[in-house]
Amino acid sequence: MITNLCNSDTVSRDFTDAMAAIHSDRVACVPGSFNNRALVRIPLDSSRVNLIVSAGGFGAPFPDSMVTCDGMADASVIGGKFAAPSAYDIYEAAKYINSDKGYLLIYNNFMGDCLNNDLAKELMEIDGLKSTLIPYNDDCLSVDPTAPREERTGLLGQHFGIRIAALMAREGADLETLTSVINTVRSRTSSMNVSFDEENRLIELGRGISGEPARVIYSDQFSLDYAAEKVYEFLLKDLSPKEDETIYMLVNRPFNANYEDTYIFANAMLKYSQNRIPIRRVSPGNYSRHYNYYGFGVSMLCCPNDLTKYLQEQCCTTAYIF
Amino acid sequence: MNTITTAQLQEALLHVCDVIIDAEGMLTELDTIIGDGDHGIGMKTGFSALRTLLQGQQFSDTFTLLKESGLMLIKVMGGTSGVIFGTMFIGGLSAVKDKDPITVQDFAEYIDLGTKAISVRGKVDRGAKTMYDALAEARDSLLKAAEENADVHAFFLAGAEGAERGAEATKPMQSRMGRSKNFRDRTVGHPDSGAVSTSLIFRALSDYFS
Repeated sequence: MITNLCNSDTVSRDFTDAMAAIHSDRVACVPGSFNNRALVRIPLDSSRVNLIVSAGGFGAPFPDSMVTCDGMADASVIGGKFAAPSAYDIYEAAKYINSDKGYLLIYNNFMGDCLNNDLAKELMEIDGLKSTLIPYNDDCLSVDPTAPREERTGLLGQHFGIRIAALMAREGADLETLTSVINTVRSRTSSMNVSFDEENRLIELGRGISGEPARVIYSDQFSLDYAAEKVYEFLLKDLSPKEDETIYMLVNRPFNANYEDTYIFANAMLKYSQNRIPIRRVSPGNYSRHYNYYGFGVSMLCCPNDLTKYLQEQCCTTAYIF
Repeated sequence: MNTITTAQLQEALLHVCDVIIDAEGMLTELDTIIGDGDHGIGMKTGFSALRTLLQGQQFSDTFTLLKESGLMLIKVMGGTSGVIFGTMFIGGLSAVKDKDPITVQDFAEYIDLGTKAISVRGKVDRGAKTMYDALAEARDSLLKAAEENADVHAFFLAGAEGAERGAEATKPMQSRMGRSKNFRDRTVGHPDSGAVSTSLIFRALSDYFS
């Protein structure tokens, strides 16, 4: 279990308060919110499609970080400890922004997130707010690799789709177009966790964020280079890049992985890819920290070349540069 | 007697809240073995808020009591449990609308409709190792007891026994839904925490009406 000094009953609302107070030039709480677990990017822009990202709280602060830079999410909603946020919190954020152009509701494909976003969409429809559900299912080892993609849960691959959709929304793209684009990007994204069992000298692929067992284990070599090669090849095989696509990668450094190891691992993938299909850019960072084992989360995007212009410029959140 | 007044049901729900709040540790432990460990905390959060609501006002009709209770769970809890247990409260409201007191037949229909609503919203059926296994058994028992025109005590006792049977039946199952499905065969041998919560709710109702 992750140990924190904060009160687990109130951590999500306390965190929301803290983010709004410390980054008051960038984000704000939703006034009068029932649970106070939503942050919105300020100034609000209700003249275009807005992106609302939601995830469980306590250890997964990435949605809140996304709102702290321009060109990612417009609102973030976090749940209580390890739980998806309530539908009502998502609904409140949308209602406050009040965009008549609509919303992309983006979340990882876990049951609680799906149920609450479904219900939020229904609540929003009552008020005439239109939205599209975008359940990210990029974790290729969350289920048996032969299972349908729809059964996969999500990791951190949504960053790519959010960045692209957010910049297109600023150009005025409508909800239908954005839905189509983000679904394309989603289908070309694959992720996995890689972890290291130093005592037994094992490299494990696919351990879950709640301790679900690994699906692939290597015992023949124990090094960052070797792990980088295996992860890259596994994701490449899962996505089978097309000729008109460019590869981007993200490496998440959970709370107990070294900063140095993260960069060396990311660079090992970058170097290895030069003799295969080169990675255009790899973005290491502290996206989320809720694994209690030593390792990384890795996401690969095979980006259609007509969308790579949206990934050229990096954005700086309070937690990472993407 | 086979009728239930709004005041009785409100008192009974307060007892349910106490039982669920007290069970936080046990539910968290169960969910930690084959899930992400949020179930006990979520249930405690939701039923603590519900307790405050029920203590703060006297509801004048059963429909409003159950509707406000369900909405509170949805608002406060989040997670799978918030939507599912909230739906358990509001999914069958049409069965109690404009009825006060309600009969055991009304309550059985209310639970039946709520059970069906959960099945639709959660895309779940029996055998997936979820709270639905306990709820569906409770529903079947309540419908049977209502058909036999059981008195309130026997009616809720049947519901409790059904829910406990359903929760126990989840032990040998391998999970097919939610976070726990990723634990694969490790889920065998442990009951589903949501099913256990459901059985606690029906046992608390039964205890109150005994």
